Amino acid sequence: MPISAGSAPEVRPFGPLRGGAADAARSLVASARLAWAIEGNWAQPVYLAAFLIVRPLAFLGLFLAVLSIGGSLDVATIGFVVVGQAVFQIVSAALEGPTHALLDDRERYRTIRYIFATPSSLLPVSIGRSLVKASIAGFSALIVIGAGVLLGVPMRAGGPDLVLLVLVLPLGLLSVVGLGIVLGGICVQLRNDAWSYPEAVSSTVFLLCGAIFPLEVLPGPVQGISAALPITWWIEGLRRALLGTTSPGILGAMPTNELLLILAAGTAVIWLISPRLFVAGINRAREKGQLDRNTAS
Amino acid sequence: MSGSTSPAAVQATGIGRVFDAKGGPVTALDGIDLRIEPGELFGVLGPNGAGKSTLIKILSTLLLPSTGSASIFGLDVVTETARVRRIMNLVAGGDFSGYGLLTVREQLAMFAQFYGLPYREGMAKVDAQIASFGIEEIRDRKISALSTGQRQKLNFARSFLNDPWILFLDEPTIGLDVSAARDVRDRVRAFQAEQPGRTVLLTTHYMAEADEMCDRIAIVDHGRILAQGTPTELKRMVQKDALFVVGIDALPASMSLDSLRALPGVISVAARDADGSDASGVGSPMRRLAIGLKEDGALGGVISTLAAGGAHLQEISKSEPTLEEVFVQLVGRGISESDEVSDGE
Ligand SMILES: Nc1ncnc2c1ncn2[C@@H]1O[C@H](COP(=O)(O)OP(=O)(O)OP(=O)(O)O)[C@@H](O)[C@H]1O
Ligand SMILES: [Mg+2]
Repeated sequence: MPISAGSAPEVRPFGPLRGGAADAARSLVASARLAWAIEGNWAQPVYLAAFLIVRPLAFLGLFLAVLSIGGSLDVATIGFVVVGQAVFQIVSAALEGPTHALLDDRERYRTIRYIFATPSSLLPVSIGRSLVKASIAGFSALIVIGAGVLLGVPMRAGGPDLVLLVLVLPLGLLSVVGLGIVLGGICVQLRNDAWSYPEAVSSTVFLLCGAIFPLEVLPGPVQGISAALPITWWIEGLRRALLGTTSPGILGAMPTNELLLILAAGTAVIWLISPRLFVAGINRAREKGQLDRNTAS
Repeated sequence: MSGSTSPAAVQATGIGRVFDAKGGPVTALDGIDLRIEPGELFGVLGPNGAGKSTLIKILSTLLLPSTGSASIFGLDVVTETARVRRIMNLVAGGDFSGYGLLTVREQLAMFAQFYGLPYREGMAKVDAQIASFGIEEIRDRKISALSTGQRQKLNFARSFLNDPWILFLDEPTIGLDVSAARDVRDRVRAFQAEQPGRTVLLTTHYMAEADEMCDRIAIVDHGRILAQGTPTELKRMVQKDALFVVGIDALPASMSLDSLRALPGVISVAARDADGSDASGVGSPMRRLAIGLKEDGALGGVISTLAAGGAHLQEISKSEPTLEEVFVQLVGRGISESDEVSDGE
């Protein structure tokens, strides 16, 4: 029955109920839990093993086989490739993570409208999902490094440089998650083929960031792009922390403290811009009606 | 905190929405004006492509309007989205949404977090909703293993978690069997009864559902509201006069239909077969007369005239037009003609 106008249900304070940051943290944790349950398809260990173990090892074998054609496959080169290939497991997961989470929710789980219509922002939701995807990929990274040890790659004497590791690992992770967020905000506006864009970006980054070959192989102007990517310095930093040696050429010429500075500055710039770009992308998708419309409809 | 002028549950002014499609721009909404009071259950009835879902998406902050403005309890749906989202919720029918690998309880718990509920309070609400929908036996079941009806109950349970002031339901019972649809409707009614002022905006194809549930209905087509009012008001639009069907054994020989038409207050008299179609009725065991009257009171004169002529009265009923008839007259075609999905009830 209609009742007289104005008798709104129980009066509740409107402003942020428990503060924006607390709400964002709660959403981040909830979506991280979700990602843990759905990304690690723990019910299907065979699938998981194929994806997390066999695939990265197969690629590592492929790269090493190609490099060995020249006949110059010493342990230093293997070490260079192993760390690059290991870190890139995490890089590609984090770059593709937010886009795949948004598209999965739109196309496959069809939950995006219900999540978008909550007071929570899609930003912490996407970050939470991406962080977990990257962490699961971290397992692949460990497998690749383990394979390197078996192949006789000498690790840093006295174990990894923990101080450097603790500085480099989170900074680099943040920088790729931030870039992934931007890709997510762009791809959610697209209707078709949006799945493959982040993969194309991550493959390009793979070639640019010195993951499997030194920057000198690239043409001069392209080397500038490589040097501007925080990912390049992330991988180099991790090589120093794990192997205890510097890479040959431009990468190795960078002093470690300057490397840290570049990485920190790059990450800061990314996080200054990426949330805005993400929110702008989501708003644009909302305007175009792309948030709630899957490719099938 | 009650102001002097209290806001409407929904106030929409000149809402328009144009989509860019491959074949050129598509106008989904074309100047919708709507006011829904707190506590109403308001229905939007229209054929496929009328713009019902587009309207719901705009009001529930999923989509931006191209023109016009709208507010929910005084909060603008374009600019005050964070606040709007605290006081509304949304359920759409016909989509199999959900994370198949999560259990019912896990998915509800996740949404409770997204609604900003502290963990304990959220879990208490989750369990209360599971109980109120009577789905305790599936609370630890994976969503991939649920039936359509169970999924939709889960979807509804989610929508109640944040105690919304207004609930947007886009064809919520589509694909549900009769009993699941009834359960869902009962829960919606209970939700409104629990707290005065709780408002529901429902779109539907099902005439019976709209007629049974809604306080007021808007009939839309091609992005425009063709008519709105209570079900009774809408029916009166197609039939302003009182229409009775009177069954008698035979029309007395001394009488013609014209002589009945001449009685005071009588507008029309037509013979009608048992199946409702017009027919001569000669030789049939009972004749039905459809009698249109200026007002109910004129019926007495007709009955006494028939009785005086020797006719034996066998039945009298008042004939109400259906919403379907209203719809056909306004839209120009039946709702099922524009739709492959058959009416569930
Ligand atoms: N994102 C979109 N892009 C392009 N056109 C759209 C989009 N969304 C809706 N439309 C078009 O707008 C019109 C109204 O669609 P809408 O979904 O609102 O109708 P509806 O009344 O809900 O129909 P149904 O009963 O089939 O659910 C249709 O012509 C539809 O094709
Ligand atoms: Mg619709």
